[in-house]
Amino acid sequence: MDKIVTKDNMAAWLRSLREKYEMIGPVKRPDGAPEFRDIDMMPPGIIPGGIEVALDNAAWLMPPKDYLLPPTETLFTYDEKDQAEPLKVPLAGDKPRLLLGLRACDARAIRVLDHVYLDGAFADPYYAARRKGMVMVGNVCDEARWSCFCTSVGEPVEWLKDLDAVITDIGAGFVVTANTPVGESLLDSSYLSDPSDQQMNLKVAAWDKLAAIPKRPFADKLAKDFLAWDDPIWEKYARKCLGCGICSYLCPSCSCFDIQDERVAGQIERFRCRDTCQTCYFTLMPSHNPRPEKKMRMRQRLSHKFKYQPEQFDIIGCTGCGRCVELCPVNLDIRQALAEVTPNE
Amino acid sequence: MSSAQPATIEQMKQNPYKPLLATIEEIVEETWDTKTFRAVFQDEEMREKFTYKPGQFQEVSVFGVGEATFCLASTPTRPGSIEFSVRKVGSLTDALHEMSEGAVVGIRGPFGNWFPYQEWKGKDLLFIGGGIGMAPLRSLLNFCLDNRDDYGRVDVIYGARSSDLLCYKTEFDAWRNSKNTNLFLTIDKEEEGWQHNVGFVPAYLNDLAPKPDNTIAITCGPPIMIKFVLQNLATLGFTDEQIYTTLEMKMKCGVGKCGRCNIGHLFVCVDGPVFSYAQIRGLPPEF
Ligand SMILES: Cc1cc2nc3c(=O)[nH]c(=O)nc-3n(C[C@H](O)[C@H](O)[C@H](O)COP(=O)(O)OP(=O)(O)OC[C@H]3O[C@@H](n4cnc5c(N)ncnc54)[C@H](O)[C@@H]3O)c2cc1C
Ligand code: SF4
Ligand code: SF4
Ligand code: FES
Repeated sequence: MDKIVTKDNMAAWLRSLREKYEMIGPVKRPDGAPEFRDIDMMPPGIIPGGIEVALDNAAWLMPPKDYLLPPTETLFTYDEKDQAEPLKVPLAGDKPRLLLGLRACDARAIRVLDHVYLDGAFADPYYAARRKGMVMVGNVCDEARWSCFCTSVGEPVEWLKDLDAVITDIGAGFVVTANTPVGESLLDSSYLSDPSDQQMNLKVAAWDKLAAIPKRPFADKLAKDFLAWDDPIWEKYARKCLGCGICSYLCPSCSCFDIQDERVAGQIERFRCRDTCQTCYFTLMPSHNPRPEKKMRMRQRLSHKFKYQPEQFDIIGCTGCGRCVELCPVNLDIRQALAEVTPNE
Repeated sequence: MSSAQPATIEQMKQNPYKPLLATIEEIVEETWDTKTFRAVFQDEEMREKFTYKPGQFQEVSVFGVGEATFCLASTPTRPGSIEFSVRKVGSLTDALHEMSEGAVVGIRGPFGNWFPYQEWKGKDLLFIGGGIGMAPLRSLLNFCLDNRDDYGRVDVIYGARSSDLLCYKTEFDAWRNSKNTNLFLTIDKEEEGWQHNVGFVPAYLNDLAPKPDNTIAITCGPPIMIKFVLQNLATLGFTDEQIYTTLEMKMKCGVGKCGRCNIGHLFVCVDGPVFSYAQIRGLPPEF
């Protein structure tokens, strides 16, 4: 189902959705930097204007996973003085969340996270609780950033279909496409009307433009068994890596975590926090460390996304979002590594 | 890498991160650095409901310190409590060793796959253990001895650097006295009063030269021991499909989520820890 909303009505429509949903979206901070954040926390009346909801692909810095997997979260608290029920699990909030401004690659990343956290014998109850009521609204990128390569790892137009609703900027207004019943319920609003054929053609053109982003030459290599174990490029790329983990922390589909205990105000809190396979501590055991060298950890990160996850879930774990390309402090570029890696014959 | 789902209990399915509370009822000092803990669930119903299979592991919490992975060293044929043996190597294992009877711990599990003992009915079993590597083997051994008629001859080769480093000494007689069961002990160096073999486990294995026919070999111990045991088993005619072991990787979640324990696309916490040597040969060399 498609509807059209004028640029003037957009803010009013979004505001009306806030009655039902806690809205998270990409906003431009007063200093111009974009980030995903809780729109409800903004002073009322300033979406858009003042602080702008950024429905272009500039709002890419913080990945939406923050709202499914907070950087740290309490798994339970333990209070030894409480004889009756020493162990308590925090409950998730009850107002459903709507994530706004997801790009095709963000939708894909959530698909990857769904596999990791929901598949298998045990589902992750904390992730599942947040994911269950979550509504995903996205938009079609108007152009590719210099760093991104979604079409080289998959089909972003197909990824858009995982969203409940997709907003396409056609210049004079926005075409909003519902993919699910929840998406249709969002479109059930007096601020929206039926689009004309011409408006629909503009929407199709925008989706075609996304699909036509040129592929990188390495795209053809991304078959299942393509990363060579002893490739010299692991060493080459690992040499300047700082092991800072920024590539993992900001990657929308990186999902690994650590579990630790902490004493807070007389009780014990068990929490989990983001972790990265790029440090030597990740796999360090008292007896030995299976990945003591940087080149092994570099190989792990790429292999996990381009080889292990395809084997495990039949999905490439990288969405081509380009965050790790833009944000690595020493300019390591995953695309260059993919271009140079030797296919495993 | 058993394809079947791990046997588990409703609570763990609902929230695999929430430990069940248990009280330490008994602590046995096995060696200078290893203790065996017997824990009983606080929830009385859980004491009967908690079941597991030999080879599976659990995450043990010391609240305020954290968690560590230990295999279930007891057998489900003796329900009511669970046992795990702990070598003191770091912060959590230190904290456990500091505990006295009556202390409270948390238990998450059972996790992972198990020895395919159902497929081994009617076969002879050869256990080859070194040091604390005997812990997962003990679970399977006692399980098989409690179902003695399901299996053929049972041989146990167990070694340690010295006699005071052998665990489960109080059970040796029970093992020896079981029907059609032999216990072969060995230590690295000569000791006064030692009446058993002297020499490394792999060498002793060669001396004993067990026949591979209709036999499954299960081995666990320090990596160097396993390496030579595997070589010698191959020389004795055992195929890769006849040899099983358990692998150890750093673990946190135990349920395939935290991404820590992978070897290639397999996760030791869900696809392991039990692997046949044939499966191990197919893994990337990173464990
Ligand atoms: C499937 C499985 C089954 C197991 N079964 C058993 C069992 O039955 N019995 C048993 O005793 N063990 C078993 N283990 C091993 C056991 O899990 C570890 O010994 C235990 O987790 C150690 O925890 P810890 O907190 O005491 O050690 P830690 O304090 O985590 O670490 C111990 C040592 O590791 C090094 N280290 C750790 N972190 C760091 C760091 N950040 N920086 C530098 N060095 C560091 C140090 O050398 C330190 O002394 C098993 C493991 C697995 C995976
Ligand atoms: S961001 Fe760059 S330097 Fe930091 S761990 Fe990743 S690859 Fe290494
Ligand atoms: S690996 Fe890099 S490009 Fe791929 S999804 Fe993660 S951050 Fe984006
Ligand atoms: S221990 Fe977390 S994935 Fe295996």
